[in-house]
Amino acid sequence: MIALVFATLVAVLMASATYLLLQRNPVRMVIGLGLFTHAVNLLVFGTSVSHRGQPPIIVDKAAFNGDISQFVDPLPQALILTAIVISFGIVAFLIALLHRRNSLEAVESCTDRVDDPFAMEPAAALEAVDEDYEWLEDVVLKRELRKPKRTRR
Amino acid sequence: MKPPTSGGGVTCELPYNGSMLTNLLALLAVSGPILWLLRPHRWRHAGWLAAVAPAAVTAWLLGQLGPVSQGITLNEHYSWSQALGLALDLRLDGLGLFFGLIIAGMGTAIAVYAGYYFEKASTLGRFYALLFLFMASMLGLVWADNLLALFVFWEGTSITSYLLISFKLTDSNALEGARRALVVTGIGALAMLGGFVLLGQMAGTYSISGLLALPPNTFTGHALFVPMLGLVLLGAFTKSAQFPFHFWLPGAMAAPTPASAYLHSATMVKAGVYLLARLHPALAESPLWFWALFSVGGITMLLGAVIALRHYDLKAILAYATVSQLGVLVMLLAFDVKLATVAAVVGILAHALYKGPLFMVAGIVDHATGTRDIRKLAGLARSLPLVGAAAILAAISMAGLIPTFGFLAKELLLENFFALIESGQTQLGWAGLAATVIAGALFVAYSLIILWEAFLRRKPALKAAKIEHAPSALFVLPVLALTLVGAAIPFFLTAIENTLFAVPVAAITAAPAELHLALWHGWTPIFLTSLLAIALGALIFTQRERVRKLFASGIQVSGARAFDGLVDGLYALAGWSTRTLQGSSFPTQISIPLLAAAGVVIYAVSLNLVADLRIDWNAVPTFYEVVLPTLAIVATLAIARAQSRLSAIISLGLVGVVVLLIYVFFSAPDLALTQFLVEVLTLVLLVLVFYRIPHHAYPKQPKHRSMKYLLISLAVGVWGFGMALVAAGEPLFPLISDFFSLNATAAHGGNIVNVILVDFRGFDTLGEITVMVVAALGGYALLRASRMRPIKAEEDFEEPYDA
Repeated sequence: MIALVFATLVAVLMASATYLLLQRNPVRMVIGLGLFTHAVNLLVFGTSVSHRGQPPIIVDKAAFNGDISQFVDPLPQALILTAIVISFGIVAFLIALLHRRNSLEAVESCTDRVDDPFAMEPAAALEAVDEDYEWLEDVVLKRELRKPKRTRR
Repeated sequence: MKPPTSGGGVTCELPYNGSMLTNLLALLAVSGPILWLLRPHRWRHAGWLAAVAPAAVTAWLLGQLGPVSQGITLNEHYSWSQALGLALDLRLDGLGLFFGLIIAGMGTAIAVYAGYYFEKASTLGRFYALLFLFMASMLGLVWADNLLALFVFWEGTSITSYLLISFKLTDSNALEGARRALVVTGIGALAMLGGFVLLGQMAGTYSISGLLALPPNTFTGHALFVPMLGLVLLGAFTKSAQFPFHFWLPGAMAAPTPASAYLHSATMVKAGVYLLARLHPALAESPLWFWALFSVGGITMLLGAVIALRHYDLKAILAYATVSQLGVLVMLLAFDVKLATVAAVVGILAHALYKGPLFMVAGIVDHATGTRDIRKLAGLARSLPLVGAAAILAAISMAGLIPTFGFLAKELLLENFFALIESGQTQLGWAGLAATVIAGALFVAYSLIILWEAFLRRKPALKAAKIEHAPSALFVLPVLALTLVGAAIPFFLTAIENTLFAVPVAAITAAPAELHLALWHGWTPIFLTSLLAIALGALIFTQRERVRKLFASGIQVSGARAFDGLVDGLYALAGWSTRTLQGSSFPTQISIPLLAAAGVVIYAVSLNLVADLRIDWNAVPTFYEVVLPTLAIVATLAIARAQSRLSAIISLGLVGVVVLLIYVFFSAPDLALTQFLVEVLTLVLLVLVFYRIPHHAYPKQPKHRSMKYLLISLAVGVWGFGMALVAAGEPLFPLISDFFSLNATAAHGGNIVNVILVDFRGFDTLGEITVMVVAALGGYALLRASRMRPIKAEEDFEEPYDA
């Protein structure tokens, strides 16, 4: 029964996460990624729920006699701990990326160049890849051009 | 470089402990780069210095003729990778010696010739380096006594050939021709390697002499004989430019002429022929071998001869004539009789001794007049008498006129078919005879065309090319020397027939051979047929303009164009698949792997794996363990339908809290703590940043696309459901976790999860830290970059490259 409860939860989380990831709205995509993380973590955690037991902590090391049947499986926990931290790093990076994109869009002259690549039709998106970086070239070029100009002045 | 005396310990019984063959290969491989370093283009007569090494090899090989003809072979063995059966085994037997003499002898002439051909061009050094590397690979190929070592040398010749064809790096024709040659011979070589592995499995050894010692039905009776033969033949046919792979050879003519004369006429293209001859004793009994070689060789012979008439470029004519001649050799090796083998051996040497010089003559003509188009040439025999003499000698040998070496080769070829008719296989014999007569007539025709149009007639068809600088006598000397050797051989047949020719024949037929060759047999049917071919050829020659017109109007099927189309198609396919699978929008990109994963689960269900799940259905959850997940499901669905950003974020937080509580209920305090911290941080970040992002009115998805995404999401949900059920089942294998639990105290820790993270799996944690550092640096850079605003486009933009 527990297995069924877990499986249902994982299924709903993954389906919703996928649905959100497929959206155009980048905010929803980030949230979708967060949900996907929960889903995968619970999936891994599900391997250790059928055997209940104590938290895998040896309280008295001196008295420990090698009886490990009292503990739950520690390995999924170790894996998930790593996963939680890494996915947080990725979500944080994505949020920074969104922030950066937002600040670029705020500049009027660039809105026509930096378009939302996710909002495009597949064929147009291919061409957009080049255009996406044009502004960057312009920026770098003009910075390079500016420097000597200023010194001349 | 003294030849060892034949009695000095070199016998077939006693093991030979020398390393002469290896030394010679090393000498050639090293002398090329050394020549390059010496910058040979500074000296006018550098070619003579370059010729020292191949001349030494030739001299030594000539010294071996005597011992080898008495059945003495030299064997050298170097272990390379025993587990793979790979060894650098070298063996000098009759066939290896025969080919070795052609390679080294021609190499000597080519080395001298190239020195004058390049005439102080600074690329001469590079040419020598490649040429000598090729020479070493080619000699290794014919001396190798291990299938895998033979493959390595085989690829060595392909690569050096590629580099020599693309020698002129600015010429796009040369680059394309080189690519074609490499791809075609490379595909063939890979197939051949597969065939070699099969062959080695059948024989239980990769040693060539070892597998040839086995009874032939070891191979012909094997279940995998047909695929093995097909793969090996593919390698031989691609290398020797057999139909339908012949197209790479004319494309290879973009190489400098010394390379064309050497690689693409005298030696490398004969590697396929060599392989067929080498494996002849083991495989030739099979009827499949006969029909494959006979038909492919015959078609190639006719096709090459016909196409040669269509061309006006001297080198192109010679290239197709070479294709035709290679067809003849392959066709001859189809037969498992001594006579055909003799014809093939004589044909190989005769071809090397007339086609090589003709290529070299073409190079000299090109060098002197700046063109190789025979329509612009005339009367070269008068203006360049030495070149003319060499050309006439070589061309009458190509035409097979009496009393040349080529005549002898053709007589033997015809004799083979007459013998076939006498032996009862009349239809086959007559078909072969007819094809040979036609090909022979065409040979005569274009030999006469070359001779007449370029060398003898007074007025050219188009505006004549002038002789800008006449070649020095030393330039012509190697060409003349080769043709003279070729012209002299028929008159010394009794002196050499039982050394030079009998030795390879014995190796191919795997039986001792005694030959009685003669130039003149009297007025036999063979001779009359030969005369018929010559007469037909003369007729075609007189009607050559009509024939050319006829061929020019025919359908132009170009193998090269078909090949290029194939390559372009491959690129198009790669582009299409990249665009469809990866290049398009993000939703498509993630849908494909997710759907593929979902497909795996559906496949598993179809395999009825559900019965193997082994889930403990009696484990009853507590009240909270049902309520909390239900709450999470509701919150998740709320996110998917959320209208406002804040409600979505709060719902995400709710899901996080439920996950956290699940960790608590199921005895994972460390996870719960970490999840709590991360959840709070994520929430804060999301609220902070999303608050600053203006609302976009994202256009609503079209209905059909929403439905598509919904279906994809449902499929992924099913996948997750299946995965979770599998995960919850009893483990199929013993867990590694018990090791960690039992040994945690040995690592001085009580918290087993922590011990795993920092001790047992410490490197994983290091990786995790690395990811965090990278993410932090990236995030920092992005946030800093936000201050760097793009400048307005048109305002103060200046032409960047104007100054």
